[in-house]
Amino acid sequence: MSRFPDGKPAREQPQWRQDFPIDWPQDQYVSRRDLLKFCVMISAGFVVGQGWIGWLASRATEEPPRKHLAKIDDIEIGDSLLFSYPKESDRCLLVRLDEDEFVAFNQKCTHLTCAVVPEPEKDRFNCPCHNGFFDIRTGRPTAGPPRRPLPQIVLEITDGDIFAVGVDLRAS
Amino acid sequence: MSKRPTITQKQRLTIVNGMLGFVVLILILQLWLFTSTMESYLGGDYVIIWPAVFVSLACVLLNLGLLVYLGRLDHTYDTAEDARYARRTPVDHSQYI
Repeated sequence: MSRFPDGKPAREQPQWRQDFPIDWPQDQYVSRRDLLKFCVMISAGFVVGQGWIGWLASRATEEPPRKHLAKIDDIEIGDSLLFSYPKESDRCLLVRLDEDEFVAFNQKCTHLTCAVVPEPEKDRFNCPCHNGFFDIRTGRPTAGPPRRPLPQIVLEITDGDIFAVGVDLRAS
Repeated sequence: MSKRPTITQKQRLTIVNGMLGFVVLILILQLWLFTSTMESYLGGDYVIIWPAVFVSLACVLLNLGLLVYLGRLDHTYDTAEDARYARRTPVDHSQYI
């Protein structure tokens, strides 16, 4: 063995260590060459990860469906409605701000996907997990850790009915 | 016929250290590229994704090239005696700790 863990010479080591000599320093030694090979492997892993993102992006080309959400009269000013769009797992919020003003956003906070809570009286969405805040009209982050705006649901109001017709993902 | 250039062990160590520093820098660049790509994808900006993939691929090819060069480097020795010594004697790693 190159070196014992307690630093004592071989003759002072306990019997079990003499019976089962595991050279830990030798075993744990990582040469510069091995580190280099490991770094190249990590580098290849990054390429695989980015290729995966590219594949995910190429799949996202479906046309979003048109979904009826509610009638205008069903929602009072300052009230909100929870709905799913475009998939059942995508929870969204429809908020009536004014007589003719409706906004809808994805409910997942862009920080760590907690559900945001509408506060129309304060003109904001509040993420209670890490105190993130979003502007209620634009969905852009105004305070806290979120950096990206909430994805906005494109609305269409026809003959007193509110429809969701698309999703506007925004990077900034 | 020209003699193949020989490199001492100390020179090899310097080259390996330089390679390691360079590879780590490339790795940091790739990490930034990956996080930027992910942010863009989540924000719906798909334009930069594939160019970023190709840049990352170029980085990994660069790293692989360095690794191949490192393999070739291990086959150059200062003298014939040095080569025989390297084959017969196990490397004492404690000098590098």
